Amino acid sequence: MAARDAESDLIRGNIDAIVLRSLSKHDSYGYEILKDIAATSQGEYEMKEPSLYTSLKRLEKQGFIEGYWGSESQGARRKYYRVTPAGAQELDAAIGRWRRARRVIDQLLGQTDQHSTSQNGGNR
Amino acid sequence: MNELRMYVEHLFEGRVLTAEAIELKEEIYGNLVARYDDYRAQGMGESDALTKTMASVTDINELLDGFDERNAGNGASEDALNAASGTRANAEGEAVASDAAGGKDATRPGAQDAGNGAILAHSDAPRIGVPTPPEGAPAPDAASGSESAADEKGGAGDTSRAPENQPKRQGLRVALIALGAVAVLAVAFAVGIPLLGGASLLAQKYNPTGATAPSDELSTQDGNADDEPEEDFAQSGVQRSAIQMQLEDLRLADIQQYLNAGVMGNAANLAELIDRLPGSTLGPSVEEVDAASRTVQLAYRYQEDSVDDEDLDRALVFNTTVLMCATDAPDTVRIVTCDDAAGSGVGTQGGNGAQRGDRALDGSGNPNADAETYLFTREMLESPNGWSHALTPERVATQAELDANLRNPVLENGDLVELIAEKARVLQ
Repeated sequence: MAARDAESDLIRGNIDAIVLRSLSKHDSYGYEILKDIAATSQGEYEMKEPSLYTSLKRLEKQGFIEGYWGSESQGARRKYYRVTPAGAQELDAAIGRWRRARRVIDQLLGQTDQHSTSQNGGNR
Repeated sequence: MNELRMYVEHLFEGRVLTAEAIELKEEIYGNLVARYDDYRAQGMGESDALTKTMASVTDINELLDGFDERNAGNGASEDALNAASGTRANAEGEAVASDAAGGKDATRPGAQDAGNGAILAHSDAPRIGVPTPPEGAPAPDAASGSESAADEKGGAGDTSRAPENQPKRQGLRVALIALGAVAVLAVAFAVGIPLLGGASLLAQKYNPTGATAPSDELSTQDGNADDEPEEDFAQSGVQRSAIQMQLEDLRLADIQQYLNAGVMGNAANLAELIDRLPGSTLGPSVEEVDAASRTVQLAYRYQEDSVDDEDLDRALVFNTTVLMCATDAPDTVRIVTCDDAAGSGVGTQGGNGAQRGDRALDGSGNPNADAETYLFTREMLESPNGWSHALTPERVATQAELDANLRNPVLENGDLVELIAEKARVLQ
């Protein structure tokens, strides 16, 4: 349990990027984003709703996503989000940051990751 | 999903209803419903699905209190939130810690400040809800399509999805004012302090700073008022109508106990409350309280020449706002007004209010018209596309402006009241 929490902490530092990535597939709303994240991680990571809201608000304020209300005519309305151009750039940057950090951590922890290194070198 | 609606309302109990809080509330509700539906679709039983759904969000205080702090950092403070959604004990612990910042329990007036700050803090925020239609999402045809239709008077609930980018200044002001009223009410009666004169919900109708008040307002009963500057009019002590007096003189303290005592489940209390609200001289009656649809239906009777239409609209808008701010509040307020002089009784479901939607407010309306139905929904009041649809944070430029809007009565500006009433008026 403690190990899992520690893993969650590591992941949590990238929560905004994860949300951006999910939204980059298509516009979506809160619960659907959570489901997408759970599915994409194959159940390895389950984001909590409050974390998601916090992330969404933060991304929105930074101009990386925009919210708008859906037009459900029946039942509860849903608030959708879309990625802005700035958000798309940020996602690219975040992915780059993550790859570099992962490489450094791999090196520091003594697991040279040839694949990651060469892949990074070969990018663009 | 009444249980979920009530659960979300419960989560936000005691919170200042800033625009942000209201939006978050609706967003959370929408997501909870989606989650519940999903659980059900997976074959889970009703009560299990409900319990599990509710467990996904158990505390929003961290979320609301933390919005501003969180702007700076990324992720570092997520723990508190997850604790809040997870184990209750942790959530409590975190809440204690954050109370110092939020101050929501210790200093109630501070709570209002915090709320105001929340609005102001967003003045540089990216604009949300700008209705560019989405790609691939089941979203707003209405936003891209018939803007004018959405803005027409008439339909209550659906038209509230009018596009936001329409530069409708009036709607904007309605929004600010209506929401200001809600915020003031929410703060004041959660806190138990009576509103003082300056912070009154109610109109300082001829406040010299209220530059937007139409000069012809209220002039229908006094022919020479049109010719006079408003200030002079105000100071000249021209007789106010009964409704005007009630609107201007009512203080929250007068009705607070009734607001707190609950509306839907307490018929006697509701009747008492109505009797203390503007328009009580018209012999209002509670026609129906439907718990299932959370609807309250009221009726007001009057003699055509005894009541100014604008006054009446003002009272209805005001009263609806008040009712929706009460404990155990209705989500829909249906009001049938009936001009007894026209010889028709109220008390039917308002179905014979047909073709009255185009009533002219200058008193030259259709003489055959005798009853009208207004349908006010919570969505109109709270949604970003409803009365408050233009309550975008950037609109509130200064603290002074915010203060002014909080102090402004819903009813200061006849045009705005008319706009709200027009939206609520049911066309049949």
